[in-house]
Amino acid sequence: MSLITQTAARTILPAIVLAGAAALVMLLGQPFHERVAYVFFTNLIIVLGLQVFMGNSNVANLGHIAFAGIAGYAVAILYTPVALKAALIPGAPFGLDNVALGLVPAILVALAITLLVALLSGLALSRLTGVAATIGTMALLVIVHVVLVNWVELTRGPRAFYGVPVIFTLPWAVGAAVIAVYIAKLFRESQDGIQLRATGDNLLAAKAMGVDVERVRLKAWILGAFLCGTGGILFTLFNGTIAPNSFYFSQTFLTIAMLILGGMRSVSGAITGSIVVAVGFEVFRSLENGPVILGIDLPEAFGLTGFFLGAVIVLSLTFRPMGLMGNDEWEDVWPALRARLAGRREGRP
Amino acid sequence: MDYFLQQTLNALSIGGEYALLALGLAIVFSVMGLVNFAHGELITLGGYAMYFTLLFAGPPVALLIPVCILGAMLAAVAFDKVAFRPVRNAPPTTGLLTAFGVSIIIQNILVIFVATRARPVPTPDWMRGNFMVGELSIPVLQVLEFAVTCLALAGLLLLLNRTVVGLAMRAAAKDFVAVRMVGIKANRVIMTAFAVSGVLAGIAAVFIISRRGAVDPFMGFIPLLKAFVACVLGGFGSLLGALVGGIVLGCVEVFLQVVLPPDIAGYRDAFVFLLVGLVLVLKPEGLVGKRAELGDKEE
Amino acid sequence: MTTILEVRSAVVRYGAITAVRNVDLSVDRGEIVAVLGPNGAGKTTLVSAIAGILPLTQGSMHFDGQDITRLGIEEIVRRGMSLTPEGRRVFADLTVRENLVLGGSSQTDRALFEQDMQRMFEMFPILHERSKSPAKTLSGGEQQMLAIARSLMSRPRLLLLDEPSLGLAPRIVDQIFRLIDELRRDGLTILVVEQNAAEALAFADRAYVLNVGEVVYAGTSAEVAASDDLAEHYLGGQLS
Repeated sequence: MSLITQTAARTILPAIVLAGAAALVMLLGQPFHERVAYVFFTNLIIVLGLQVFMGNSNVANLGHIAFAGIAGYAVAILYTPVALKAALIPGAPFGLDNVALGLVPAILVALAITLLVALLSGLALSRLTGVAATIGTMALLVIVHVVLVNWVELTRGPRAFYGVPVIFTLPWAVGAAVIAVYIAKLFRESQDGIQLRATGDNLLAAKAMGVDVERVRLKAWILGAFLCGTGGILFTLFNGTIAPNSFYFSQTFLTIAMLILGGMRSVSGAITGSIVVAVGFEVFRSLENGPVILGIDLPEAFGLTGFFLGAVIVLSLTFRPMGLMGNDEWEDVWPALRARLAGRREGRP
Repeated sequence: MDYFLQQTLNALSIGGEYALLALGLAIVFSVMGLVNFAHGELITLGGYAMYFTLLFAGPPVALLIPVCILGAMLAAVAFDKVAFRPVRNAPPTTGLLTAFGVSIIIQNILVIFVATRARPVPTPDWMRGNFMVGELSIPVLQVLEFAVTCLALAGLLLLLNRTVVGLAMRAAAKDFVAVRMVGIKANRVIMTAFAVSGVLAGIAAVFIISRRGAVDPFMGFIPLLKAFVACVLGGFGSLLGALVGGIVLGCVEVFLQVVLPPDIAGYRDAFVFLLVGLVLVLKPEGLVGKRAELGDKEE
Repeated sequence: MTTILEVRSAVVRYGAITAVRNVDLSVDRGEIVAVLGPNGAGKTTLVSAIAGILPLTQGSMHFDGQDITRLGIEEIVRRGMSLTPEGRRVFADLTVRENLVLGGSSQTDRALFEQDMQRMFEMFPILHERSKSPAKTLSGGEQQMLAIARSLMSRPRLLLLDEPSLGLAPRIVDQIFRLIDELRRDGLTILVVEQNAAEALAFADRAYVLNVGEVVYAGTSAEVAASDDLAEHYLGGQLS
């Protein structure tokens, strides 16, 4: 079986789980739950984008949300109707207040802009390793944020950009997420993915074996940016309103916590972590509002969700640095367990 | 001419503040390879130490200064003991992300138990206002900040050159195991590094808070970014680099503020971070560093 | 004579690799004991484990009758055992004097500390001469002397020397070995790891021969030197 069909087969299980969960929400949940589920899927796509670069290269990336922001703003500016833009961003640069693209062209152009920025930043960042790379990615996030906040004529600055047509519904997000899972898995098992993982395990050894570190890092960086940008577009065309702070450090915390808890080394880790953290996040969000539980009226406690994310990061790294999944994909867990059990039966350690 | 002098003093005092913060980051990094993302929270916790002392004890305002410094120092030591010790031998990325988590936890604990809103913290009267030198009106705060930075640097130099633990910190930056081989406890060296970074952050916090007049849970974030920039400019992990990087950053910021037309002045931080990217890619050893100094603790 | 160091059934593993297997070794007070063997025999691993740098996977170590199996490096130094590591590992950016200050950092008595410093400068005049120079400006032989002096500053009762002659010119090697002999005459007990078997056997009282992590022979230096078999298989040919 070729890698393409093999990976497709390996995507069936996560596809069933994700689609099943979405179907349950649509059948049983309130509209509010559907909203939460939709945002979960956009976050999952971003976490997968993060996993493609960070998980395979073992370089901590704090800049991935910048791509969600660029793509989100680009599609908002390109796709919002001219009449509304006249009120939002009159006299926008490049005459952008006078044109609006169709849905597909708007998305394609938004992705193209994202990929261009990814290529340019990637050419610089792929040369960096370790702490320097992490600070470099953070610099990218800050730069993009500063531009979004200050380019008032184009983005409305710190104020919300609203009125973006709401296009997508939950099934769209599920479909995109499943495709993203497939892409991330395909990359992980591809020649480039394997080489990139080798650089993550032992940079010097990988270099000595002739791996072109910068090239494979750049590929992963661009692919990761593509997924993060897709997540940003899906979010924008569902939410209808965005602001620079939708794409800054809180979103970075959330997605990093998801990836670390699940385990960044595998695609299943990204999925697992996203699910667990999303559920925990919702639980803590309801606690934040001071609900009544078992007759006890709890006080409001804003900050609980943030505290939860910080605790997830610290506790995972302290007690399970490889994350819940370690190096395993879901489909590896059962065979590995069976092998271990069989080994024990035969008296091997 | 007056304008030039004023801006120079401005640059030096801001640069001094950045240098103090960057030095704290650099000391911890050079000794144990940890990029302390929670360094900004030392400022915050120093500030809240002042706020709570004022709330519950109501001492003279001047007494709040040592409280702030002590608070930041204790916070730094506590971070090491509680959060960083378990990941001490982990790869640098793990330490960095752990510190990232610690930073979020501290911010949100303050949000939960105090408030998101800023809380006022007063400054002693003698730190405000201006004094006159001839025709020039000079802000006390800026002169004080620059002078205190120099004093703190002198103290740091004495510590690093004249005390056993200071020598050990310098030695540990290159070969920690060899330091332990002469019988010096690893915990003692690392704890001192954290304590020093806390004291420096506490001193910076006093000035940061006297400018703002208030504390809030997220106040440490921007200074942390500035400290990062300073460290990168100077060469990460190099103490001299942190000092030079801090001063350079102060000067660059003030310079950009002065020369940038008002409509693009908001982009100042974008330019600064672009500079960071350029330095990282073109001269990763920093403006003053030797390449070996950066590579030592990596890989 | 009393035993100062007693290692029993020591095993050191790194992951799947067993670098030291079941080694028994003892050192008596006042002795010089050599650990010999070819490259990769596990000599450095063994001595690192004794110094507390690596944990023993199995086995036990007693120093002066006390169990030191689970102690960290710092504590072992404070009990009176000091390692001069392979490759010297002097503090390159610190001056010669600062290196010695760190070496004597466990000494709490200021007067004794000054006295020790003086003694080192007498023993190694070159270090006195270069006391204000950064250690990295010293030659290889001078750095080795500094490394030994740094170890001696903690007043060890047992000195562990790992490959003291490695990478040094023959003339300097002679000098280092004469120094080791002098130290013994001052009453110091020494465990020395050497690849240079012939030279080491000339001054050691006893020797252990290691191969692939195991002790293949233990005996007096004369016995080891006399065995053509050992010489041929493990010690790189002629010994005398």
